[in-house]
Amino acid sequence: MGMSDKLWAIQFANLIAVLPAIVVMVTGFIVLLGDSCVPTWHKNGKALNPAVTFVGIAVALFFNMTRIGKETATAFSGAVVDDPFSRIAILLLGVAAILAVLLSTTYLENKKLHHGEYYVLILFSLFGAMLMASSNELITLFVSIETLSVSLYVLAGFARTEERSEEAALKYFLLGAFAAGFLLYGIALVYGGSFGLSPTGKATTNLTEIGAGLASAGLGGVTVMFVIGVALMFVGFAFKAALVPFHMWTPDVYQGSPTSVTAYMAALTKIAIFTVILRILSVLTPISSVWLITAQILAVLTMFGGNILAVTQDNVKRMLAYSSVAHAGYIMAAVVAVGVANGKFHDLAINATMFYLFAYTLMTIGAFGVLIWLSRRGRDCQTLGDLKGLVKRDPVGAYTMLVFMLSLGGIPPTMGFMGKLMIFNVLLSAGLMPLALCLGFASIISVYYYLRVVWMMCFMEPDKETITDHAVESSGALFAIGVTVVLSLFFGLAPTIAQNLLAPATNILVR
Amino acid sequence: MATVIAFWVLAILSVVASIAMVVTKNPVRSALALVGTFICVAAFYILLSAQFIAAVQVIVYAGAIMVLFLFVIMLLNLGSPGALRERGSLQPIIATGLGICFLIALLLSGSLLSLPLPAGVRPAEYEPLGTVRAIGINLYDPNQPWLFPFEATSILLLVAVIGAIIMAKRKV
Repeated sequence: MGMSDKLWAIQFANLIAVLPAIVVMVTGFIVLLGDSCVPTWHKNGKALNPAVTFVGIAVALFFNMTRIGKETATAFSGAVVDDPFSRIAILLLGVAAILAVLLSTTYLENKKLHHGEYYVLILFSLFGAMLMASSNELITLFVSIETLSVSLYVLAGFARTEERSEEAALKYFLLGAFAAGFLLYGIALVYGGSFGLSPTGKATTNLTEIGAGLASAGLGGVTVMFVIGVALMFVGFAFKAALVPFHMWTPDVYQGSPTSVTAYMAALTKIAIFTVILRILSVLTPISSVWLITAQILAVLTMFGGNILAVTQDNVKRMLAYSSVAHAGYIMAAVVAVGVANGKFHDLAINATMFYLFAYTLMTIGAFGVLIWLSRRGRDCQTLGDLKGLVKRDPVGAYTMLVFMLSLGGIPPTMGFMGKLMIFNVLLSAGLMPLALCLGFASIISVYYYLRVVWMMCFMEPDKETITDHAVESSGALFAIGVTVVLSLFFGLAPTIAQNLLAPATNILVR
Repeated sequence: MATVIAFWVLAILSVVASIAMVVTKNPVRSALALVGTFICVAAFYILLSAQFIAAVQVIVYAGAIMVLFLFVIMLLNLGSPGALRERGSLQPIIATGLGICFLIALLLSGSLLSLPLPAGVRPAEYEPLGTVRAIGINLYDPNQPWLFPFEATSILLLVAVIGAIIMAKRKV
């Protein structure tokens, strides 16, 4: 009796630690089963799925916020951790998902893709992303990354009748499976290489044990196998984060997927994978001399690669894909500072990364959101030509797009500017002057193609055939765009509020 | 002693089967030789007290995956084996060279990567993880970290099933 009571107490505490993810998962089941119960002819039947999804994510975020000030706890014998860092990451993930759901409904109806499975996959991918943020063990991490990835492969191909969407799904799936192989192989080698590191003297996949081992053994205790394992794992991560030279899939997948999926995928994957990279690089701080140079090279290649390739794009979705690659480079630059001087700038770097991830989420979802808002029945708004003379046709779309372009380009008074300023500040105080200079030059290149969009919208006459009717307007999309615009400007003018909100993230369980 | 004899018998069988797989001209025979290799590998796992992996090897590889292979070979209707032969290709030579490089790398990897195998101790006795019982206990023991990822895998599989239905069905 007492024994089983104790077991129940342990399991209960375990489940509490992953409560937001569990809530999202259960909502996924409800939508999956509910969708088949609601009669298809009912006029409000289809509206039920996004509503349930919205409420489920909101409840998960509520539970997440109630524990934001509480102590760090590990659960399931160290498989997952519930620390302030993961709570902040889950908050950002939830915000991204809610915005994406708001953008989706009318767009999907117009494309005749409004199936319940869409929301099920959104919820399960969010479940995977939330677990990625709280994984403290490499097997759990792998399973959660795959849950996110498999959902996104299917979402990318959700418009099954469009060739581009099919191509996007297949390309993403094949390359993603390849990257998963690298990741898993890396995990196996890290497991083998951790043999001499952990205090128990056994091989382990637990990140806190590996961190403790690295802290006590230092660079001398690390085997070649461990380093190769870490390198292979980072190939897998770099693929998911779309760092150059592992970015090849990004433009095709972003362009081919339904725009609502692109918006969701661009924000969610970046947040999730960069929280993982942050956690693992924090664990690897004692051996930062091994990875510091490589990570910097990766960041520089990514910023310049993304921006230079974006310059020639005429398709806005494709341009935003390359721009998301460039932004991954900026974020990577901030992440690198975690390892400088044995973790001296750890807190600064995490603050800057989380702030930039928040800014990136708002402006990317906003920019894709405007494209969704402008898409009409049977016609996706994708190219620069579609945006010509927008300011006369649709001033709301034009002016909101203007804000997002300024924010993406890092021009004040937007949140993108404040984010870049924070990264700059971190890099300068950590003594990474070359990286800061590269960031500056890369941003200057990016201003060209962001302003080209503004030029098209404001100073070009619209083509005859681009004039579209306003018959179908989506209040959800308009609301989401409004929220992102207001927040982008508000946090650009009053960044301390966002900084204070995200500040607990520096409390990250490493060892 | 019995394990040593069993090892050498299996070793010869597996090498012969894998050479046969590469050399035979008929793709169906080649696939069947691959089945033989898989079964030999499964027997190796049993020698290492890894019964669970041995069973999975037979069910998944020798069973499911090989059936898939044979299906594809038969569905493709490749024609006579002679027509499939490549002439003047450098591939066999390069493959042999790379294979030898890989063999050398494997032989040297113990010292290069400082693999942590204590001398004189067989892995199965060192940590009896491979038996079905040990795997079951490890997966479901709340004091081990594997329960959670094991359960989370069910969501991963569910997503894969949903995805397959969405992509494959003509009308959702």
